[in-house]
Amino acid sequence: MALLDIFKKLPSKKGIIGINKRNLDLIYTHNKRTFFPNVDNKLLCKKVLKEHNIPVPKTLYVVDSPRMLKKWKPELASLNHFVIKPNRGFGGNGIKLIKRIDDIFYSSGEEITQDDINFHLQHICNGAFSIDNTSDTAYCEETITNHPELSLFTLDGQEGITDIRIIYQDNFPLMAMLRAPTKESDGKANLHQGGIGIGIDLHSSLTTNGCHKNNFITEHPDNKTVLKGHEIPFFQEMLEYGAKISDIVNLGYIGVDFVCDATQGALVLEVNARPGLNIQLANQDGLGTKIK
Amino acid sequence: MSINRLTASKLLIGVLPALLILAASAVAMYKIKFLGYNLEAVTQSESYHLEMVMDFNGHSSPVEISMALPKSLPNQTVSDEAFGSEDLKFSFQKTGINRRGKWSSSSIEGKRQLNYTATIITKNIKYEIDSTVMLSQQIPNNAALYLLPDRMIQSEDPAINVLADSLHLSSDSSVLYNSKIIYEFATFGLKYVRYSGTIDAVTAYHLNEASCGGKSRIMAALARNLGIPARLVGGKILSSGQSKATHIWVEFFVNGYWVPFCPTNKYFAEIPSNYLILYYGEVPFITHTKDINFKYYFNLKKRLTSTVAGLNKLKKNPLDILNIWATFKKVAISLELLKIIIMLPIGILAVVFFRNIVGLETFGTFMPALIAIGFRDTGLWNGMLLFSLIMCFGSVVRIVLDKLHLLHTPRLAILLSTVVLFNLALTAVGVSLGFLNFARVALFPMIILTLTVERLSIITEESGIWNALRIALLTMIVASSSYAIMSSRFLQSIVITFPETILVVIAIYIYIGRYSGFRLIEFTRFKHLLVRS
Repeated sequence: MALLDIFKKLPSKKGIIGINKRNLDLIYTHNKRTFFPNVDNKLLCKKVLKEHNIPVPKTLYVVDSPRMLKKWKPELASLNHFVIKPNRGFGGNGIKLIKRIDDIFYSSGEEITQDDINFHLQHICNGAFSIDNTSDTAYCEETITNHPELSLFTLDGQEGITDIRIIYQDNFPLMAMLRAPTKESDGKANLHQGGIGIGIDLHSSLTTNGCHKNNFITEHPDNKTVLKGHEIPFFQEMLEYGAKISDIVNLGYIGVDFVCDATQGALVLEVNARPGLNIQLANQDGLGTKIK
Repeated sequence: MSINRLTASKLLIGVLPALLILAASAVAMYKIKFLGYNLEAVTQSESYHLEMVMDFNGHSSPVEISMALPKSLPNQTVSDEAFGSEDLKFSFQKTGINRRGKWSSSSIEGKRQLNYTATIITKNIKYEIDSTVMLSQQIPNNAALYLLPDRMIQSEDPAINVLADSLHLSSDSSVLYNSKIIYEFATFGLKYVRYSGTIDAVTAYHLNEASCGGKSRIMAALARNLGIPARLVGGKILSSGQSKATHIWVEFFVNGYWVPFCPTNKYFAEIPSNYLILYYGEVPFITHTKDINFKYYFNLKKRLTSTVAGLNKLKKNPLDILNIWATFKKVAISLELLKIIIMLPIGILAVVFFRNIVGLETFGTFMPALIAIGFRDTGLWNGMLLFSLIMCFGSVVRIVLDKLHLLHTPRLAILLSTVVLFNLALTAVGVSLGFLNFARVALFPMIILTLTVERLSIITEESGIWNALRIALLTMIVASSSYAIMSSRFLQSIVITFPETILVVIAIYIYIGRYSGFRLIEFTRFKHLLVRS
C-alpha cells in the first residue's frame, strides 16, 4: 500500500498522467457513458459536426445493408481514390486506403481485386473491427491530400497522411501533436504502430521535438527532416473548431483528430473519447501540468 | 458533477471498504465464537482420491486377483470406495486384521481392466512412549503372536543374537531406550539401497544394507529378539500422480499400543500424514494368476474433500456454505464446482493486479482467469503445454480459414469445431499412452480456447507475430498466477469456511479501483519524461 503511494506521488510530482489516472480523473469524470456513442459512431459524429458547420471529409458511400453491398461498384465507378472505414472501429483497425490506376485497385502498394474489397466491406459489417465486436456499418470516404507544408513529414512517393491531434478539457485545448507515418508504420500515423508524434506549441502553432515509440527524437527517423520549428497551417482554425466540439458531443475530455487538406484546409477526421497518453511524449511534457 | 456529489462519492469510497471488512470480520468472529468454526478442522488433514488400476490379458483360463484394501484406522479414513470388475466376480476377504478384495472368474479371454477407487483422508500421529514401560510389560495373546520368529524375520537366528549384543540392547532397560537403539541402527547404521526383491532380516544384516523392507525386518527381528512384539506394515506414500511403488515400515507393541517407526524416511514413533496403511504382516500386497501379463499402477490426486469431513459437524447451521450447497446437491452440482465458483472472485485478484498495477497486456480482460480454470483439471505444466499446442494448431487452422474468405461467425464456428476435434484426438492419444492428466484436456474450456486463438490471430495480423507471442506469454503469466491462487488449498479452506472473505476482496478491488498512480510498465513507457527535471 505504501509502495502504491510512491507509484502515485512520483509521476504526479512531474505532472505525468498514467492510464489509471486518465481513466479515473479525466475520462470517467468528464465523459458520461451515455454520450460515448456520439463519437464512437463516426458517421453520426460527422453528421452532427457538419450540422454545426465544422468541416469533415466527404462520405462517399455507406454499406449498412446487403443491398448496399451489391451496389458499391457502380457507385464508386467514377472514383480513383477512397478510404474504407468501419463506422465503430478503434485504434485505426480495419481502415483500408484504396487507389485505382488503369482500372486496377491497389491497397498498401499491393494489387487487390474487387472481390477482396467486397470481402473487406462484408468483414467490417460483420463486426470484425468494431469496438465491441457487434455488427457494424462500413463506409467509404474521400481521401485527403496532405497540405504541401505537411508533406515534408511523409516519405517521398509513399502514401500516408499526417494528422493533428488536439486534446481538450472542457473546450480548452491542453496539448497538440502532429502524427506522421514512417516506413515502420506502413503509411499509418498511429503511434503504437510505429508512427512518430511531434509536439505543437499551442501559442505559436510551431512544431517542437517529438517521439518515436517511447523515445525522444529531434528528426524524422526515415528522411531525417528536423522536426522543430515548422508552422502548422490552419492551426488557429483547428483550435477554434475543436473548442466547439465538446459541447456538441456532450463529452468533456476529448481528443480531436484533424487533417489539413491541400484544397479544403482543416477538416475534422474523428473525435476520440479515450485519447491516448503518448501526446505527453510527443510534447516531452506531462498533461497533468495543463489540467485545470 | 456537482461538488456535493463528488465529496459524497469520495466519502462513500472511503467508508465502503472499511464497512465491508468490518462486516466480514463480524460474521467470521460470530462463526468462530458461537458456531465453533475453526480453520484447523479443514486444513489439518490431507485428502486424496486414490485409484488403483489393474490390467491383464486372459487366455480362456481361470483368473484370480487379490489385493490388500485399506481400511479406516486412527490415522486414516477410507470412504466412497468403488470397484470396477468388468465381467469378473468381486468379493471381500477377511484374513485376520487385513482386508482384501478378490476378483475372480472361471474363464477370461482377452484384455480386462479392473480398478479400485476410494477417498483417503490421512493424518499425522505422533506417539509418546512412556519411559517407565519396561520389557516386562503385559502382552496380550493377540500381540504375543508377533514375538515368534518367521521365515523373513529370523529373530532367534544367531546372527541377530550377535547384533543385539553388539548394540548393547538390554533387557533391564525401558522399551523406549531399546527402541531408540534399534531405530538408530536401522536408520543410520544400515545403508539404504533400493532393491526390487524381498530381503530378510539376516540377509540385510550380512549385506549391511537394505531397502525399506529389509530395514523394517531387521528392526522387527531385534525387537522380537528382545521380547517386544513387532510387525511389518505395508502401505503407500501418498503423492499426486501415477506410481507403482509401495512402502514398508514397522510397528512395536508398547503398553497396549502399536507404535509406528519408519527407518527409511526417519520417523520415530510417528506416522506421517502422507502414509496410507494397506496391510499388516508379511503378506503380499497383490496376488494374481500367472501368465496373464498383469500390470498395475496407482493414480493419486490431491483434493480438498477434507473440507467436507472437517465441517460435517457444522453442517446444521444455516450460515454454512456447505449446508447451502447440500441443497444444491439435489441438482447434482459437485463440490468441485463450488470450489471453482467460490474461488473465482479471489482468483481474479491476479488479473486485476497485473492489469491495473503492473499494466500487462493480455488476451481479453478475464481470459487469463478462465484459462486458469482450465488448468485445474490438467495441472499447471500439462495445462500450459496443452494450451500452447492448441494455440499452435488453432493458428494454423485460422490461416487456412482466412484463405476461404468466410464470414466472421461461421469462421469462428469452424475454428471451434476443429479445436474440439483436436482436443478429442489429444485425449485419445493421452489415454492410449497412459498419460491420464494429458487426457483431461477434454475438459479444457473450448470456447475460451477458440476465442483466444481468434485474438491471437487478429493481433498477429495487426501488429506482428512477435507482439502476439509476447501477449500470449503475458497471458500465461497472469493465468498461472490466477491458477496458483485458485488452487491454493489453504485459500480454498479459508474461503469455503469463511465465504465472507469475498467481501474483503471486494474492499481490495475498491481500493485498486481508485488507484490513480502509474502502472508499473508506465515507468518504462514514460522513463524519458520522468528523468526530465
